[in-house]
Amino acid sequence: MLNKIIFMVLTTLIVSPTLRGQEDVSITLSEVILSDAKLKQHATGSKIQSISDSVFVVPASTLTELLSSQSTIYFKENGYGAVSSASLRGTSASQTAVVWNGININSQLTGQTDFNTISGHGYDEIKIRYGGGSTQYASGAIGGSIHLTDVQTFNSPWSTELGIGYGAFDTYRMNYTMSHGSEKLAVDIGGRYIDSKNDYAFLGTDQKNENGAFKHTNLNASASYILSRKQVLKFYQNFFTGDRQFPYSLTAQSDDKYQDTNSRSLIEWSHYQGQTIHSLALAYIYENFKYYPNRGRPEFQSGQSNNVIAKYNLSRSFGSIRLNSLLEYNRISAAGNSISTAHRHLYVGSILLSHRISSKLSYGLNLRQELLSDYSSPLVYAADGKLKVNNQYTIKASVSKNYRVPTFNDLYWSGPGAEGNTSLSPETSLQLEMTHSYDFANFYSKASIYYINTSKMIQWSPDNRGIWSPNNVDNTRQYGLEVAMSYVKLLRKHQISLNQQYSYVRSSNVVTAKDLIYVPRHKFTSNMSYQYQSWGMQLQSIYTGSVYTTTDNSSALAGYHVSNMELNKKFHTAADFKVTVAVSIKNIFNKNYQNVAFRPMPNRHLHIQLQTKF
Amino acid sequence: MSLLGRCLIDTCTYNYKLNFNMIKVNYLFAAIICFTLAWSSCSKDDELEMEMMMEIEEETEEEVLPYANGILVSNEGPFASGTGTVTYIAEDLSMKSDDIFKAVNGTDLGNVVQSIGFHEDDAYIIANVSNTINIVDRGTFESKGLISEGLNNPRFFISVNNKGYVSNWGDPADETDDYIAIINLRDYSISGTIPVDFGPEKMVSKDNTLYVALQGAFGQNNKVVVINTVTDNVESEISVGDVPNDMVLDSDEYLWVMGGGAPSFTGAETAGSLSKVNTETNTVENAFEFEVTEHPSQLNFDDGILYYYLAGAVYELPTVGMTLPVKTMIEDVSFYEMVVNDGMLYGTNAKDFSSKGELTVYDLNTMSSVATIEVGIIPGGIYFN
Repeated sequence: MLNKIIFMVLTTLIVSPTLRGQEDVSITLSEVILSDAKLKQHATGSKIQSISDSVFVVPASTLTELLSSQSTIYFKENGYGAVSSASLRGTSASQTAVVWNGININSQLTGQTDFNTISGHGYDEIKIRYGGGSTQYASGAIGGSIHLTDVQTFNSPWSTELGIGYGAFDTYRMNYTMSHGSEKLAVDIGGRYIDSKNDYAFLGTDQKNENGAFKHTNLNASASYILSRKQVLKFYQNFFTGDRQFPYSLTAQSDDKYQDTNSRSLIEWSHYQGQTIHSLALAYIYENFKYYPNRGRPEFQSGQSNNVIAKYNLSRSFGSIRLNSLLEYNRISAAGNSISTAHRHLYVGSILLSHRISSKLSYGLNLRQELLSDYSSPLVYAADGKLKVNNQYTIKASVSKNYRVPTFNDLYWSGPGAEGNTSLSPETSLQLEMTHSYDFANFYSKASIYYINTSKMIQWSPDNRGIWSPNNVDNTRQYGLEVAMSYVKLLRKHQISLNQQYSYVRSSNVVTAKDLIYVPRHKFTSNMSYQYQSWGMQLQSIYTGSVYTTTDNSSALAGYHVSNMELNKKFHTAADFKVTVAVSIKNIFNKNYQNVAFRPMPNRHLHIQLQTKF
Repeated sequence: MSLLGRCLIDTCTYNYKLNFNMIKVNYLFAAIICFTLAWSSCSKDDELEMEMMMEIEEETEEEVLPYANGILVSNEGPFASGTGTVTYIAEDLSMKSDDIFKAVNGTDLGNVVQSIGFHEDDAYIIANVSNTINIVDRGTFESKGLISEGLNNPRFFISVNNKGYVSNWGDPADETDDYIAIINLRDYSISGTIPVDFGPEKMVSKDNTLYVALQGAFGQNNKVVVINTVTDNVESEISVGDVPNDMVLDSDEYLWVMGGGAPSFTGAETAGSLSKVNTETNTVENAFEFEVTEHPSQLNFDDGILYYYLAGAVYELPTVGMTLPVKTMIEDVSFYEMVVNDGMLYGTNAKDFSSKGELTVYDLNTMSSVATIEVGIIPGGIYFN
């Protein structure tokens, strides 16, 4: 009942904004163009990291590879290229939201994103927003959210980029992008393809990573069209299809494979006048998987979900205050071998406010309430602030309540030895964080501390009949520290940049007082880039600390340190035709390491890439 | 010597584990203890420990069979990856050793250690997902052989008529490729196969007759096949209740078959059942029906009484009993495996299936627990050496 009242209040606020103020914040086109504008406008106290993949010419195969080398996010990968889940700030795999052009695309079936089913290359912007963000990005934004964004540019000439690559373990890659922007229309189209036999040797044994082949195709298209001086129409499409085998481990052979298809479509109409932006968006998110327990046989298990989203957003500035209100409707349906067809209707009301008190001090307040057909969702909130002490030193802080909804599997699973539980509630999480930034000349640094407490964690466990089912039993706690430092130096023809990140996290189950499994306490990444004229060199070094592999912490997997490098050279054959050749060596020191117990990761390997731009 | 030997193996196993955990200080501490006890050079390098364990084994092998008397618990090991283990527990429950196969042989048993079968001095350790059987000397646990060909989803081993028989599911999606593999017990080779209907699981023998319960793999079946081990042919099939998950032969040579019944997720839930089979005529003489929602398992026989597990409780039924019992003997337990042996009841708790499980021992006279011992991950088999 209370939920309904809050929902009503939120929606009333949206429909009749009564605040008035000076109209001194003008709206720029870029704000209208960006589908995930909230990431800029309503992130006063959040730590946001931009991931740049441009220094590397050899593209990252998957988002796992890109983010694990450039951030302190830990990935648990069941063998290279196989199922990969993220742990951000020590939280669980379903507590990191992946946001595509402003829309949460975590699987409705599992609640997670498999980071090996997202291309590591081909998005114009990849950003990590650390910490809770459920008020804006909904379920799962507890540890943080990963934002994949397409950006179009008006008034830009035709540009085409074509790349081909070949590397160890019979890996073929191809990528293509084409973009063009006239005064009224901006278009961006891209495609990536990777095919790898992935049969690297397990060092120290006579075994190989058999049954590990994978093949991915990723297609992106986006366009913005200026309908009139006050209206913009935007369109985004992403299509991904993956065909993967699940590899051998040291102790077991396998012959299973997994095919998945994901399609994401978004169309958005925005109207802007004065200090007000109205936008209406329609999105359709489709996921489908087929799991073949034996790829030599025709039997498979499958699951799919359809998510239709309709959003109305009203954003308005009142002097130094910006108010953003949102009404949203989702209709989600899921079906599969082990789920009887299930539907969910979801209504969302949310209000985001950011206030710039002075050039030094600003704050934000967010509220969100959902109403659902199959369980009740909590009111979530966030309050954050930013204090610019001086030109070098900034302090940000936030406090928020966030949540993770039960998935369709959690609620409706019905299969051998397992049963869903329809009386589950969402996991709820309270958190605090503070970030200090200090920038000086070419030196940038950030240090964050945080504390997260999540209750009603959904945990699957067997009952005395041996039937597994989920319950809201666990309570987990994370706290930790993150330090990031970067340095850029330009010295005539030499350019050096250094980027170091370290994280320390303690992540434990409050009930048992044991560490959560597969969360390293320490992670350190170091990226160095050196450019001299047309030559470039990148060095990358990643240390991942040891992890426990059993919930009673009785066994552990050793930490590892892996280094990679790339050498590239640009050739300017003509003014409008650029060629770049790159060679990369991964795992330079041929380190024998495991990310998941009994699943060795690739030994030293080489890749060559030819990239043309015209 | 045997105690010292075991102590050494324990210390070194511990040492290995600590090393694995990268806790260098404790590792050194354990290494020093190892060194002083063994008067032999414990590892300077990370990889020498295994050799050391082998050395200890060599020292002890002539005089003692360290695992000859006591309990062996097979632990399936973590679901997704990794290896199963075998835990040894002394007969008087005073000490135990974890992962004795690796301690002795330096290698892993394989993924999902399903069960152990015995023949004379040999123990046959089945790794279901790895499709292997490691054969060890049951007293020393020294490896004697490995069967890695000809198995497909192996489940259980039994020796009858001087031959070994291993039930195999084949591909669970294929209901027609299930078989019993026949093992040559001299050279550990597979000498033949006997095709059976789908889902062969537990086996019991009487003289030269082999009874195989067709539980139905991931699905459901409802038969017991009778195999003549002289000809290695299927002689007959006995229809029993759905999902025969366990069988015992009582002292009057009646075969008791526990049917779990079809579970509720199938949409056609059926009751559990207990069938009494006359092994002279191979026909069902009597059958007890449970309630539709009751799915019993873990059938045992000891001293004229049948014991079984149902929904967190243990029940007992004398073989001469006329009706199913309503009184529980042990309550509020969660047994992944339960075995009754010589007046004692042994039950394992797999907890959350991703941490070490426990074995609890009960005295059948008092029905009270005598001891609880930590074992390995997902303890699924209990055997007496």
